[in-house]
Amino acid sequence: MYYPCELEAYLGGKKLLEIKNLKKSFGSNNVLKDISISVEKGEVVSIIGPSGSGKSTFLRCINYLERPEQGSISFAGVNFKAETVKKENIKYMRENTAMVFQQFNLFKEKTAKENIELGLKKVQKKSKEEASRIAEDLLIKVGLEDKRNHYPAHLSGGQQQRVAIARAVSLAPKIILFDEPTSALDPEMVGMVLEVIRKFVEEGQTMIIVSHEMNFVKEISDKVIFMNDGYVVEQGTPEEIFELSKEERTQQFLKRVNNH
Amino acid sequence: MLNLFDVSTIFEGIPEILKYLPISMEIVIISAFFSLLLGFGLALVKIHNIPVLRMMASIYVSYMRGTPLLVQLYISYYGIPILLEYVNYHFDTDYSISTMPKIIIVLIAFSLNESAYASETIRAAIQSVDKGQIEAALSIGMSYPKAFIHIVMPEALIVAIPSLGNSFISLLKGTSLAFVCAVVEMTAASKLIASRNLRHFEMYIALSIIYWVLTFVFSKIFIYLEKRLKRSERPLEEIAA
Repeated sequence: MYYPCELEAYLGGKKLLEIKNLKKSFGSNNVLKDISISVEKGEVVSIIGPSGSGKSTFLRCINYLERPEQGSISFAGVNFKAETVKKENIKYMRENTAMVFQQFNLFKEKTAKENIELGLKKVQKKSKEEASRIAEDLLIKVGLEDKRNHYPAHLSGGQQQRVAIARAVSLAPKIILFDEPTSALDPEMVGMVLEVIRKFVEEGQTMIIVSHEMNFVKEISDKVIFMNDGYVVEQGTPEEIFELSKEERTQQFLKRVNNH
Repeated sequence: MLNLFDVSTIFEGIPEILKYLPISMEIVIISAFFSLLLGFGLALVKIHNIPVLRMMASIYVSYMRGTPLLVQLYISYYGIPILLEYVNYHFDTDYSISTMPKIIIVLIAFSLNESAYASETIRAAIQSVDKGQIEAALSIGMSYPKAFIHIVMPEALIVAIPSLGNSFISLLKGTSLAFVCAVVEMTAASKLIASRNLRHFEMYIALSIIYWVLTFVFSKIFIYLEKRLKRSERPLEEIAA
């Protein structure tokens, strides 16, 4: 089991996001039984664990694409409880986070550039010129400036995901949630996408990443959380989880992943 | 020589009948407009599963699609005056049935009938938009109504256009039934002209040619519209231009 008090003492500093005792079920299926995590500003937190352990559901609870039933959330100075969540809380969470999906989920009738501009214009009410400038800058950063007028159907999976990352970054969210960003990609495209993520990590972007790319997780994370069966089994630095894991369940999982 | 069939009267008849084209088009366009509005409302009720309304919408759609348009026109023709009498009686109003243009009855009947078909098309089109895009829109902080307007609607429209186009064309052909409500549109006009020159066969041939050309033109327009809206499938050069 995890030891929140110890961990907090260990991490110190100011928490950007703190989630306590989050619970979520689909019918009689308790997907998240009791999840508590905290994320500091500038930190990269990775969540690993077997399929069905609730990683994605947990990520989707943070921006309320799924509604948790219980738990408390404290995010950049705003605190609320899942039991009494208000519309404005959900709006706040969504406006201050962004998500990168496994299936990219680009707007398919909008070009790469328009995909990035939409949120800037319609949510952040930025002028056309400013939205265009930000979009252009980001397209260069993800290496797709020559694809600005392409529609998702004309882009490869890896290119689509890079646009999706640019779309997420464009809104300057406090946290970006990555939901298995490379799981739907052909192996040769994974590298480019990870490269782009790495670039934004270097810029100090706070992230929570659900991923099966263990080498990437090991290299990039400040903190790794191992989830299993709706619980956080263990969390710590990549070294603590990958080399010095104390939990048998974690060791079993890592052994199985490494044998692949 | 036998003069049973006179080709020249066909060509003489066409411009005569075309004088009534505006009436036919008025019926089609106004009913299409109201049927879209009502159909959209019905579709939303079904999609969002609103308890009592949903059942009412289902019964309505089933009735409208399960009874002939001609019968519905008769029901409107006799029913609307009765309804007005009741309204006048209970609300102390003074709507006149005799001065009400008959075309209004036709417009109501067509709009109601067409909305049932449109609602199913629109519902299917809205539900065809993949949920992932809606989630993406929500995840960047858009409200659901905004996501609906900026993402769902444009994509649903592309999906719906071919079906709505077909409905529009059926409606255009359906206007030929408006004569039962004493509205003189193209079909009724052909009948009247034929009763004068006794060239019934030629007049109906002329009329059929007009409908045929009209449906051909409109089907081309809808194909063009679909292509135009489907920006993502246009060649790149065109988008950049």
